[in-house]
Amino acid sequence: MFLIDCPYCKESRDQNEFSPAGEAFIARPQNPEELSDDEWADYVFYRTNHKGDHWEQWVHTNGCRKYFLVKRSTISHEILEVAAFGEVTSENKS
Amino acid sequence: MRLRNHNNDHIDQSESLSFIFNNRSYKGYKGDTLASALIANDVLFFARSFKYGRKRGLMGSGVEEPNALVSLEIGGRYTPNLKATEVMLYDGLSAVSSSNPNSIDFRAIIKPLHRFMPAGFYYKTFIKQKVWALVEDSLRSLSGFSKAPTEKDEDVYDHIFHHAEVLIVGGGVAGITAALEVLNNSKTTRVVLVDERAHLGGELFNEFKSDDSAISWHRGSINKLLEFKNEANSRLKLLSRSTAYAWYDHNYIEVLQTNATGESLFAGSTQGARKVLHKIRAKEVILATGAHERPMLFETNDLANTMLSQSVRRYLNEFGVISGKNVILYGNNDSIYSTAIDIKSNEINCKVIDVRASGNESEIVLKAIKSGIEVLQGYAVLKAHGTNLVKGIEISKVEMQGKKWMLIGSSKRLNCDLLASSGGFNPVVHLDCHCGAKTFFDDDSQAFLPQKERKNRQVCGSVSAIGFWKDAVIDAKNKAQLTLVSLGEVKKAQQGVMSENYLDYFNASQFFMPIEILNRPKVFIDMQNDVTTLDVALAIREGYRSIEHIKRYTAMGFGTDQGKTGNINGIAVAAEFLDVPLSEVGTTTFRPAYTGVDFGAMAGREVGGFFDPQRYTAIHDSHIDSGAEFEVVGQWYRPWYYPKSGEDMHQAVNRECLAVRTSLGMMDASTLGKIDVQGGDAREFLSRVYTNAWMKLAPGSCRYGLMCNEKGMIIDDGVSTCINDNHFIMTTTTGGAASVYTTLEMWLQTEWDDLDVHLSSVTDQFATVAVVGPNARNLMKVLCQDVDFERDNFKFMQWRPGTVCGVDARIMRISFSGELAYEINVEANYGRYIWDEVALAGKQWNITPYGTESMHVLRAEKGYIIVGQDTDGSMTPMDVNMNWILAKDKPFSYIGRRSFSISALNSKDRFQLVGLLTKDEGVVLPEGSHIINNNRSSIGYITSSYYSPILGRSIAMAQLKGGLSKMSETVLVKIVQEKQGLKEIPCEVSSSVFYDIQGEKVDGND
Amino acid sequence: MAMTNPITVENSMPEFRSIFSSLIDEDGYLINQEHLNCREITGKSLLVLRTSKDSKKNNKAAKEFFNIQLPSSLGISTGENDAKCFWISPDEFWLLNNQQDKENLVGKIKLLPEGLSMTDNSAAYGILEFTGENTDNLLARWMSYDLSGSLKEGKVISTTFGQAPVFVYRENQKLLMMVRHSFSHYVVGLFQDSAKRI
Repeated sequence: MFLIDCPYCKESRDQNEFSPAGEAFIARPQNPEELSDDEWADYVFYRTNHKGDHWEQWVHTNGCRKYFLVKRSTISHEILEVAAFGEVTSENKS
Repeated sequence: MRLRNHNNDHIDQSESLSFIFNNRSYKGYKGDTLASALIANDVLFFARSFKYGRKRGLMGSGVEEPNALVSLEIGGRYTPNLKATEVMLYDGLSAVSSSNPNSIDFRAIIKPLHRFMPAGFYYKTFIKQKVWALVEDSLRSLSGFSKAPTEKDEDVYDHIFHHAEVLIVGGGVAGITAALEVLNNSKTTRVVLVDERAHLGGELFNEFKSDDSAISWHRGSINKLLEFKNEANSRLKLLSRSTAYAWYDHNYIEVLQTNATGESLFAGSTQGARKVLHKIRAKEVILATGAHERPMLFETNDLANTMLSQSVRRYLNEFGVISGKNVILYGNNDSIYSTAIDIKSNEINCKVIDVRASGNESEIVLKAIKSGIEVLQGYAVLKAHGTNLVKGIEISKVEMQGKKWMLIGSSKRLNCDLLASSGGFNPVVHLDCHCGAKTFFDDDSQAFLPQKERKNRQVCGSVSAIGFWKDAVIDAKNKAQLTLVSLGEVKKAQQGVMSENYLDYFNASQFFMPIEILNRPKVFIDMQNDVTTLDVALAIREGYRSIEHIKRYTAMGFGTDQGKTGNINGIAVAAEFLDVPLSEVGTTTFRPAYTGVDFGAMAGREVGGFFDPQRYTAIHDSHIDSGAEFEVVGQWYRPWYYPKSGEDMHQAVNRECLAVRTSLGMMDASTLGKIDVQGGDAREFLSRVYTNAWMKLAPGSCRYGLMCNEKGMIIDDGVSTCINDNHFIMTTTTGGAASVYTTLEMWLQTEWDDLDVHLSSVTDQFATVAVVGPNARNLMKVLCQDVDFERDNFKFMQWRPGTVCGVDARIMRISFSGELAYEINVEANYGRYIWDEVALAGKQWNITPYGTESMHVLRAEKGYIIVGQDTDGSMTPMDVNMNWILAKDKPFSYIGRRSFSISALNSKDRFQLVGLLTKDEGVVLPEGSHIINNNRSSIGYITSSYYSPILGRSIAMAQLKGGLSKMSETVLVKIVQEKQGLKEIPCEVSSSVFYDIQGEKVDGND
Repeated sequence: MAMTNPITVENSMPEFRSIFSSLIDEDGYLINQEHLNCREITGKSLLVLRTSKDSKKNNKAAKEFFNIQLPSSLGISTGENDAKCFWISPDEFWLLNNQQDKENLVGKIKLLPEGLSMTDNSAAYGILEFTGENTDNLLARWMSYDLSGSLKEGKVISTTFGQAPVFVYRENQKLLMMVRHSFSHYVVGLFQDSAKRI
């Protein structure tokens, strides 16, 4: 059970207060009807399943209930970076 | 045998305890383990090995013990597969060997065949599935250890969370020192010290006989620790009989504390906790876990009374017992001399055989010789002799030539009745590696040591090969100082210097692994699984050269001892056969748990009624008073049905349903999720998450909404109410409340944070009493005087604020049964009051409380779906014939819409929701039954099925392939009937609306 | 929703039941043993205030309507008549007041500027008060939060008690816990069981 630093509560909390919420930086297409079935499927179903440093969303379910971003190693589980939602984008991410 | 005049703090000879082992009675003392007490009683055989069923004796004195497995107690106190070395003796203890050494054993009878059953035998012989199926049961019953428990564990187990700045694992010399150093140099640092034994001190007790300074150091240190512990608001927690068995991320360590192994803990009316699982989060960890001895290898090294040398010493010095009168100590390091000296000081005959070259005249060797112990240096044991029990050994001269050991000359025999060996020491690195830290092989100490640097962790004492206790003190102080720096308590770490002899016993010769001995038969590496050196050679010959493969091929390290005495030897054997250095072979991965953990301890108190939260509505006690039976929905306890005396569920449900349809019923609908939606963009938000339209719903009105996910699948439904343009109350299904709320927040926070919308859960804020049936309006008029209930003034799917029985309420005309219905929503604190008043006022219409079962029947009669029952996450709105709820021209592509147009979701062959009417009206199809085609393959299944009292026949809803185009066709449903067996029931595919098809009943009679 | 003058069928007074009313003993306690007491706090109102992205607007509204300063992360601010304001999240604050002040506060809801909203959640939560030196020890059996190390007065945290979501803060050497109505039996069951072995 690892610790996550909630960027809003500004405190380290146990993993059991949080829920994982999928890969980060996946934006809902603005005009879904303009996408082909394949492009839509890509958004709905496909994820990168990256081995290594992974940007993902977490939510502080039993705390402030806010969504935020975590950069975690899928190999060692080490948490490398935590950011408020929107603070890091796919453009400026490390 | 027990020594006379044995005095120490651990054994209390004034308190004699009685116990039973393998159906014989014995006596022991308080402070004994089961193992030490049995040694005292001259019991030599403890169990049989796993595969060959060989009779085995004790080997060790602690968690490393591979042989002495026992089952303790019976019934609700029964515990299988405990090591006798870990069981503290108590009065009335009753234990049996897990595998009886005294009875006839089939495996032992076929002993001559054992040479044909090396590692891999079972796999290769029974590889054909059919053959294995034939023999599996009998083979399993032959091998193995204790039987699994059959009765419920009657004990209580607690969990406790701890937070500390420093956690110290191991309460020996190093651990005690580290704790004191941290406490003495800090003011607020919280320290937890954990040790697996009953008394702090670890291996130091073995030094007491020869070194008085050890005794005074121990006494002084313990006193200081107790001073810290007994302070007000103490910073120190001492956990004894506590094993740290797992180390997880961010220094979260789990520790299992044993208060009682098998004795009862009832004290008055309070049941004590048998074990406590401590969950410790520490900033810094100091590992002082010590080292385990490994044995020497030779032929038939598994005869009973072949033990580890340090264990023999511990039994002697701590417990005052020894299992032989003519002892031989054999090994490759100086510790065997210390053991011999202690044995000889009790006037017991012993010899020392040292593989290392003769001419060693260190202080300890001279001391041994001076005390009259015969010492043979430069000799090796080739074989142990005896039938089941060791009687003697065969030795030969040995010599190191280059890098290899060579046997020289002919062998000779010596007698003994107890053979104790020491092949070196393995630092207990397990915990450190649980999170992926590595070990490295150190040549000086001939040991795998924990990796040098690791964040927020220090190691000290013999776990990092500091063998001499006085140097362990210095090492522990140094490491504690580094910890204090890391905590910011101290600016610069004070570092003392150790002596030259700090390695002490670790300064052993190389692993003694001559090929001539390794190639002999029955040189056991892993005692529990009967893995020999030849098995390792076989694995390598067959291409399994990595240590992970060798382990799995041979089953080395698989047993309950997890290879604590065997694995490092196994690595050395593999290195020898592979002709590579030990460092290249490496260790296998260490994983939690370090020792066994009771399932009961893992569950803690989350058993029975505490397993899952039992959530009740505010009205709950009234339901109990009415004699309701309850059903668990998610975590909620909902009234299922309200049986009158003598009624079964069927009868109760029939009565309830008829009452609702003909007069008046009442139901507690408080469990449904309620979400308060406020903000200027409330309508827009609802439009995006529901499939239908929300922009024009007037204040004072309600609307049913269907919610899908991005895949186009139905995930929830419910009625939402418009309070005003900026304020709505959504309802969700009971089970879906939490996940819907999370999903909605996800959309708002991660995609649509430009919307002016706030969500608040108000599920617990309101209690909801539903008043349902043709007489509902009549009742409402009695309960509430400030609302106009006339049918044209208060229409279906509208709501009004009002005062019900003096309480402010929101009254909604919503119906899940198709009958005239009003839902009264009040602050939960008045929920029970309103329910009781409704029940009282409704008496004149024979108002009938009804539960979830009747609710299900009533809505099914009207063809209303229940999300999660008639849908399973794979049904679209089209699949359930609800195209009407898909708004055609909403500007925003609401959640799910895009997916509706993909080809897979438009296939004619999809499972579609239909009604099913059995040809034989009395047959009620079990939910989950399959609809089959001519090939007897499944083409669908029953999702909901009931007997309908108002129709006087059964009804069902089902998912059926292409069902919507099969109206009026006959299909077969396969069911299993009690007594008659499999049957195929013909049914007509119908509309799922069975009753009141025109929807006339919803306005009532007037 | 305030209580109006009762005119009912039976002429009875509406019976208000507190959240833990079916669980407290005749002395009003849930635990009553040496070094450990627990009782229910009643007579409070709880309003959930949601704020906009404009912190100036938020602070102004808080001052103007509720005479209170919005606290920062995990903080608690206090006002007149025992009023308290808890930080729950960046855009959620809970106003805890005496029951008699609620009607006045509820009346302010329609005055709130755009972007702010408020909901009455008084019935949704019950409040427990723990006293005695074994308090932290008891809660450590079910809470993974470092109470003795990190929960100082003036701080409120939202975390789990077993599997129940709870809100915890300290005041005058007592520990207060807010528990959702539907988890009341579960939470009480857990700590009454643990208290037996303290």
